[in-house]
Amino acid sequence: MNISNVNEYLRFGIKGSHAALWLQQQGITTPDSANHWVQSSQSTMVLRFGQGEFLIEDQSGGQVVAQLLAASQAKPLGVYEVPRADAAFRLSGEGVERVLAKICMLDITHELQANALLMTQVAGVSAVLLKEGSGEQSSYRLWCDVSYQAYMLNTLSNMTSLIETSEPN
Amino acid sequence: MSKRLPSQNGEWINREKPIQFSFEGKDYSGFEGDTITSALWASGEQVLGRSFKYHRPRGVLSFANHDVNIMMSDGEDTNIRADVVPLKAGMKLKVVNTSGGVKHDKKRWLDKISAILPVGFYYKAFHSPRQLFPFWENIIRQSAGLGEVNFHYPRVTKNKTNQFTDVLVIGAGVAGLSAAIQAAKAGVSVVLVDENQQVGGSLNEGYTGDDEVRSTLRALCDDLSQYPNLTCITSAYVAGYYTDHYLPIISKNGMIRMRAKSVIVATGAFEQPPVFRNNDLPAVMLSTAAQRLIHRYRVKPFEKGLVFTANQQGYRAALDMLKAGIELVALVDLRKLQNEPLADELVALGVTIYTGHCVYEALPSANNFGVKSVIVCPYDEVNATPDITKPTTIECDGVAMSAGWSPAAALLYQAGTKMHFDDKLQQFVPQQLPAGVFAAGKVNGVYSLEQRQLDGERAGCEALKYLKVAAGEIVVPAHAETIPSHPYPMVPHPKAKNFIDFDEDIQLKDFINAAQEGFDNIELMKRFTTVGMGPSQGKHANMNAIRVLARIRNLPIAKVGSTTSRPFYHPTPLGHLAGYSFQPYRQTALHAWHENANAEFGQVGPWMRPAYYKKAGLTKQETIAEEVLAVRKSVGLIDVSTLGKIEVHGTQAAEFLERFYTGSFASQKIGTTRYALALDEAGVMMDDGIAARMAEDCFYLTISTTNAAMVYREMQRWQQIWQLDITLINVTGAYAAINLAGLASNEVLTKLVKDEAMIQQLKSGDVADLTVQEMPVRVIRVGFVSETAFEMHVPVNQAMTLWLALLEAGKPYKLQAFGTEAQRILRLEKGHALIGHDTDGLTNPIEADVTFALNMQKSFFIGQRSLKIIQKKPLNKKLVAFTLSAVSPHQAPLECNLVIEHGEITGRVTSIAFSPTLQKYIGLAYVQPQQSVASSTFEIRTDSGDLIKAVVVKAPFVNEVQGTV
Repeated sequence: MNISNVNEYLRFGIKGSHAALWLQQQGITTPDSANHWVQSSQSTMVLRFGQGEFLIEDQSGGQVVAQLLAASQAKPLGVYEVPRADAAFRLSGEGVERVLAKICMLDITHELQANALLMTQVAGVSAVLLKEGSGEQSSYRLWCDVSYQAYMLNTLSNMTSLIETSEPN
Repeated sequence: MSKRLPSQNGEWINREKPIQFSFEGKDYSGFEGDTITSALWASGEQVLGRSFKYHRPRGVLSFANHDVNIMMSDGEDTNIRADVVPLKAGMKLKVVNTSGGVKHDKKRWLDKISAILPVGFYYKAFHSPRQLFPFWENIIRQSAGLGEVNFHYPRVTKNKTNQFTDVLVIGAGVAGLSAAIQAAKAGVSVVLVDENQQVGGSLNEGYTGDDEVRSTLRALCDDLSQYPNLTCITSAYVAGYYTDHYLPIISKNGMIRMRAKSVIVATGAFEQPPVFRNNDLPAVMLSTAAQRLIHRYRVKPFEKGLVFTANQQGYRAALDMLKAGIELVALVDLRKLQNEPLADELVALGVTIYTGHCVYEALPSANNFGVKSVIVCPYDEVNATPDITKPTTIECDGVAMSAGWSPAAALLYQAGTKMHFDDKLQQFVPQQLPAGVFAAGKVNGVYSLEQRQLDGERAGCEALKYLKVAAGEIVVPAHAETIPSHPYPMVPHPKAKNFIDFDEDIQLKDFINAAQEGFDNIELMKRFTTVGMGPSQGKHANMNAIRVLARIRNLPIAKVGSTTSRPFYHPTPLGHLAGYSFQPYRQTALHAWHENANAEFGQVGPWMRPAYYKKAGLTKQETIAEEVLAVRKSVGLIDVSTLGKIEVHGTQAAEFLERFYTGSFASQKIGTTRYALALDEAGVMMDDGIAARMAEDCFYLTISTTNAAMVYREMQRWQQIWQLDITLINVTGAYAAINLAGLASNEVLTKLVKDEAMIQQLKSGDVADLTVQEMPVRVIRVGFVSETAFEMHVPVNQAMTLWLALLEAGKPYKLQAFGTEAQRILRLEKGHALIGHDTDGLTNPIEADVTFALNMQKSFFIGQRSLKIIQKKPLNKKLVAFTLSAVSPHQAPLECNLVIEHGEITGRVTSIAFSPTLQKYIGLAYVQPQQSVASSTFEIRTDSGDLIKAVVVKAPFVNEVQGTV
């Protein structure tokens, strides 16, 4: 399994009863239902955690987060910025599902179909998990609080070593 | 002398790969595929173990891990189940629980005095005189247990993984195979688990002489390989059933935590022994054990054998033995009237059949190492009595025995299946299965080969229908053969040694004695006799025990019932349970700085926090004292990023706080903070912190480090109930917090802000968003550790910049970073109680003396109703501040030491420390209300038993006024 740290991607969190409407007014495509995500533009992901809670992440070259941060300074009614401090990972490689099966108790191959995302415990830590791409090009994205970064990286590395060195059950 | 039979199709051994090993210091060889036991039995060794209590020689009993006659150690692992553990080259094996080797065990004398060591003797014999109990205890402890724990066992982290399936089939005998294939045909995902090395169950050894059986197994195995959606896991057992079809699968390498949508239990049945004198001698074995030896490993169980049976299985085993070239001297059948279809075949082959007879006893060969002959008598089935006036002695060197079956129903019981006793089968069978759980095969009371196959298919179809997949309707005809299990296969003998539980050497008479002592309920009898409490967990013993108790009490078996089955149903190495575990830890944004500054870390909740910063030449206590004094004399800095931080936004934010906390918030002015105390509904103190009002519709809350997650969860839960117009945002991880504390803190901070007047204007309890070093910083003037202190909250990515700037600005004031140890002393000097440290799971605010935080006039807050009731009751205890005078460190009480009044416990110390500022011990303690008045005294009993006098004082211990302490 390959582990890439992508903390450097810019993120914007938003919460509130009018959050979905406000995002749409800013020209952001939002997922229709909670616990789903969409690729809003080529380099921007929009994750919907609840009826009124979103995470927008600009990947390399994305400009959306900066625009949203500027727009949110007006403090629109019923919309609250959620300060983000995430440890963010991209997990790929043929062993990724075996590693995740050791640290996540949900059936990720089944639960993460059709742009679903999971807010669950990964290695005992609250995390968000989703699957990008399909087939051999697929990878998983994992977000948790940045204070868990060292622990999560250490755990992911240990689990990777474990599946490489031990016999399968 | 080799007992290995000629090669046969389907055997499990690879004769081209011999394996060398040693047993009890002697060299042996076996083949790849052998188990330890099969290799030794093939080599002519049949004394392979000693019994737990009487140290009787033991050999093969079930040869299926349903007993622990044969337990070995290889020097590293202990209690190796030799019957099923594959042989490996170079193994150096010894039998456990012997002194001087298995053949010369010095403790064999215990068998001679067994008459004076009945079950329960130690309950009664050693409790008086009391002074001698340690002596007996030492002897009993030395005798107890089987193998010895290897304290140098290498740490091997076992795998743990989660898997998911639509259908989990447990047991790969004919029923399980058929069920799995039936489900797989429909395209759903199927996992099939079996404890054996190969699938097939009893098809591998029962009826193997019959071509129909062999072709059935071959056809099922061919089918099995056709379905990519069917995964087969062998050499693994399902150890338990937990709610929602959650089942641990244990294999050599670890544990799979399987979550299934439906479960088919096709676990078969354990063969049960008839109970007669010396039924435990080596070479007296269950008939299926003989079949396994013959067909799986091609080993003769004995040369000249006798079958003692009470069902059709004995006849089948007899035929298998004859076909393997074993001389069969007789078949003894407990049943008088029998119409076994195989009887004629046996008679035609020259076998003498004794119907309505029993084996009265097996006579041992030299040293009890085997069988010399058996005594056969007529048997009265109604009264379970042998007619010893007509004995027949038959020479033989082994006995294959079969009295019936006990369903392997542990998982069904654990799943909540309602079982009933079927008199026609003489077996417990499922009556009402939980949703999504299905049973098939022998465990379901289905015995003939064709019917088991059909029953598996039926269970597969039912599982599919449960999953809402179309499937056919299959009806399995009722059992039409002879009764598979005998209702009472017990042969009494005046000299006993007729064993029911081979694990614990429990004999027939032990049950009768237990019942006479009043232990005549199945659960009580289990605990008194210890039946089923050994490593076999009753697999070969419980059913006979139930039958004996039913006979003693003259009750139907259904009324006697069975004992409770709990997971794990089979002993599992602790290493599998331990495996790797997750112990998440959090690091603040300043963690790297703390490491470089020689911090000694401690874990507070999930957070790694500096306890203190080590300094060369200073002890821990001296270092902590120096950190405390830095704050008291000048200024100190602590990373408090670990505090929980929650924003409450919305038009009803104040209303939310009014309900959640005990104080008043509706009237709180913007730019101020208030103490926020949260209770649970019972009025117990849950957490405290600060509520800062940032706007009319916005509060910023701090929560104590260890309670942050719990408080946020509770807030979300209450908001679900209250549905107020608010939005909660947990910003614990997003913001760092730094506390600058001490008399000079004002001056240090002033150096970093543009508008000095802003700092001067900040009064205790004020909050403001300021610009510090070009950064937006939320500054709260708080007095937790010092009257002059500033708590600064910044986004985590700016924390290091601020921290370094403060350190630089503080240099002229000898600013020093301090850790949680100094923080605890500093807060104690200020007289602040810590929730969870100075309170427990029952403490209310009246006892903790924080009534100032209660606004009982409000219409509602969580816990208010309980407090109103508590207020009407007399106060039992009160938290007070105290000091000790002239106490040396080794005399000083510790936290949790008791407050004693006239020899009675009246309270306890919750916090105590030596104050470097005051140069004396200070603390907090619960005392009786009448002891709580200032200047009162009370006594604390230390660990050494001394009573130390304490004086109640008014907190705070340290007060900072006008730049002095």
